[in-house]
Amino acid sequence: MTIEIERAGEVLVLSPVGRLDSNNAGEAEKTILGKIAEGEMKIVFDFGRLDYISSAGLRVMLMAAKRLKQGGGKMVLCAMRDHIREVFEISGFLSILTVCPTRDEALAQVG
Amino acid sequence: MGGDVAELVLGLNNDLAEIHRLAERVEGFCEEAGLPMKTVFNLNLALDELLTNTMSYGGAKTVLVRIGLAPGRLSVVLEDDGIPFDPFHEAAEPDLDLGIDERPIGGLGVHFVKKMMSTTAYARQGEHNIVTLTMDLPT
Repeated sequence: MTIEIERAGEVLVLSPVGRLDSNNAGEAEKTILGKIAEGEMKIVFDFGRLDYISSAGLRVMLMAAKRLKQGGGKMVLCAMRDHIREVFEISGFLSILTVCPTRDEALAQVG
Repeated sequence: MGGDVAELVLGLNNDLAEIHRLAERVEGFCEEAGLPMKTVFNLNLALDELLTNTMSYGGAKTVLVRIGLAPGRLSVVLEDDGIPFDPFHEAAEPDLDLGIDERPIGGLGVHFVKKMMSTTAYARQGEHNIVTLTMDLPT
């Protein structure tokens, strides 16, 4: 897995590519929480090229959401493929996280 | 397993990277059997969650994975030599209705397994944990 990092104005767009699982969740956690610790307040996660996520990956998403909320920041997820979306759904995360169909909508939502 | 038309057997060492190796084999096995991608994804997620726990906390040296395909049904047996642990009764159920602040980190893995599979069972046999799963297939 790699995480592509782009900036759109005040928003940081993070795109994990490939698999986000127990084998690399530690690395993802370090990258993502590192960005929040550096002061990023608005983050969009683009899941368009994420093939697979396990509970280890969801754990990182929840940690990011907690940190951002505590610091008054915001995150929006977008472009989830159906099987990824189902994992978020059975986790109960769709009701606590903001999810948009496209990156454009996510950027509008977070901005 | 009796009545199986195809079987995949794989021994894994205690290394999280082995889970991806298994996932690729499972993908090939399911593709050959003509199973839908969603079934493959759900099966691999359930295997990943159980094996991650076994490898990270169970102290297992090796895990034997057997997957059998019969008409209308997939069955899985995971056998490891780690400490006795029944994932289906000892792992706490997550409260899915909590907000971001209240929601505890973790505890979702076994929940996924229960959601993805049709039946789950655990037994301790001698020095081994035996986890048995079945998944009814769309007909």
